[in-house]
Amino acid sequence: MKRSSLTPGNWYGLLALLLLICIIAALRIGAVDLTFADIGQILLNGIGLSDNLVDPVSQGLFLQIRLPRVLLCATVGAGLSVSGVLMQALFRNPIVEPGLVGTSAGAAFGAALVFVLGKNINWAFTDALGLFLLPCVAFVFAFGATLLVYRIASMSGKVNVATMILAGIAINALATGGTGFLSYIARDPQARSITFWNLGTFSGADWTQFWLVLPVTAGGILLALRFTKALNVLILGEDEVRHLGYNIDRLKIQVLLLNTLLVAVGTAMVGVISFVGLVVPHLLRLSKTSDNRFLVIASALLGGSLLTLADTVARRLVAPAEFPIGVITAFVGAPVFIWLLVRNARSFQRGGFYA
Amino acid sequence: MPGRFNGEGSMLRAEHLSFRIGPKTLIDDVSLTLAPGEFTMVLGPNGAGKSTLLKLLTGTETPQTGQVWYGDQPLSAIPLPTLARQKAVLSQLLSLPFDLNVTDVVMMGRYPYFDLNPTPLDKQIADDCLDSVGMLPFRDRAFASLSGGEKQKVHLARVLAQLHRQPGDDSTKYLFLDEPISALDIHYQHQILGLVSELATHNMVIFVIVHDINLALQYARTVILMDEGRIVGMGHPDAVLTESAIETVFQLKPYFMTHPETGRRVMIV
Repeated sequence: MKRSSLTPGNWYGLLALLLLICIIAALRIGAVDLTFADIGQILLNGIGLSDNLVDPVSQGLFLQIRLPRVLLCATVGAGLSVSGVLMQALFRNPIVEPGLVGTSAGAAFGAALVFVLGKNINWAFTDALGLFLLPCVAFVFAFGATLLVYRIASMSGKVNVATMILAGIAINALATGGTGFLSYIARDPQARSITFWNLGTFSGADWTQFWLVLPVTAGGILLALRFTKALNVLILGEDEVRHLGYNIDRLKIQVLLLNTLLVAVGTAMVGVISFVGLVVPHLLRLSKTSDNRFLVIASALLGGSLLTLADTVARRLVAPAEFPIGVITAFVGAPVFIWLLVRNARSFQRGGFYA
Repeated sequence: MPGRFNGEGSMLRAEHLSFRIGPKTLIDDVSLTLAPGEFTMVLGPNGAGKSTLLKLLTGTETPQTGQVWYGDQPLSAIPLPTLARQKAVLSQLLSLPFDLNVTDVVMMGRYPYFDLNPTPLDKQIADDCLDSVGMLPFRDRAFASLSGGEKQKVHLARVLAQLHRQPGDDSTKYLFLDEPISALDIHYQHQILGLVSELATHNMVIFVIVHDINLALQYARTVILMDEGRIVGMGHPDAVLTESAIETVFQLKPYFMTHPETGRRVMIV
């Protein structure tokens, strides 16, 4: 495939523009379409620069529902995509994504645990601690699941792809089974939220969620940039990481923790959204380079754009009802994944990709 | 240009190294001292322990007994980021799971020197090192599209960039190359070895594993001959690579002739 001759700087500019367009479009389109004039007026009212009258229903819808939802969506998309970059670099394999190695399923199980059993812990939902309990438990289970898959896959010294996929399947099955069990024993409304949530949905997005996810994701992406040099060297091999001055064991555990943080906090809020972490870095690898620094920045922008787009489709397609966004990403992501597998089988038979 | 010797303080020393995996002894009580300015080449049959010795000397593996010293510091006591500016290692051919551009690969050699973005000096050094192995015209190519020999040259440029001195730095550098010319044509074999032997005179300890005895006779100042995890000969190439030593180690009868122009010994079998 012909590689782009645009500089990384140009790429960042174009992708930032794309993100902006997607966000604006997502703000405008939905079950109720707003005009740009309305949006501008509401925003001006919101920051107190004017207070012309707008339809109060539209204003409430926009400020309390649509704006936080779109912003949360862009943030989660960025976090999941950067997490995909980190995982692929760590496993030295382009087909890895958080859904494959147990991170998402682990987080989902942890969150379901809080949903169902948390009701019995009175303080969990009555004070500020409760707000943090969900992402924290999701994080613990996501990390446990990912670490387990990584340990099993790398038992022979280097990551064995077949073992990794099998371990991922096993851990995913275990976590999904656990989540299924919890939804079985749950009283009905809880069960429905778990089912919906296993496919991912932004329908419950609010400002609290956004303000919880934003700092973690932004901080995580900045931190990820610190690891991009060492992860680039990891492309050469583990010994090379050491020869260029990095501690490989510390690097692995730090990247694993960071990745889990990015996935777990988002997943705890909006559920399991698959394939974003796989597809986004891959599109960028194909069109430019696998330099991790480029991938982290560009994936954050492109991931935010694509997930915002997917959510707009999810909201609009069957309005006023809506699709779970996981269905949309799976419908788009699965064919792309298959295309990647076929392409790899054709052009990388000599090793490399599967090394 | 005469070599600069810092004496004892900059030697590479190994004391009684032994390394076993399970019941198999890969390195058996090996001691050696290498001084800057000596271009050292390591020879021996397959499985003699050459690569394992290189791994012990570079810290990739830890010996069960014995210790490695860089100057007056034990290897295990030098922090990895500091070590990365003193020592570079070219392993045997590496395959990359992801594709990078040639410049991306060479720039990794400068990672120990910059924080997030390479300085203009780093970029200049990367280009100079690519140029010195004849790969500058390939700088914007995808690494995966190169031939085996071209990849080897790019990796070589990477380790050269890693040891390229910052202004004012005259400390001893340590360069380890594991079969750096195995995929190169005869022209580049000689160009690269000429380049590396010239580097040796700039206060560098150089340890190169090769298979070609004639190249060792031509370029090495010191030769280490290994067999079954032990050093069986170490010293001047003419003193170590004798008829009887080669016959014992390689089980092959060699004949030595004299090069018609240089008068140097050459071997045929």
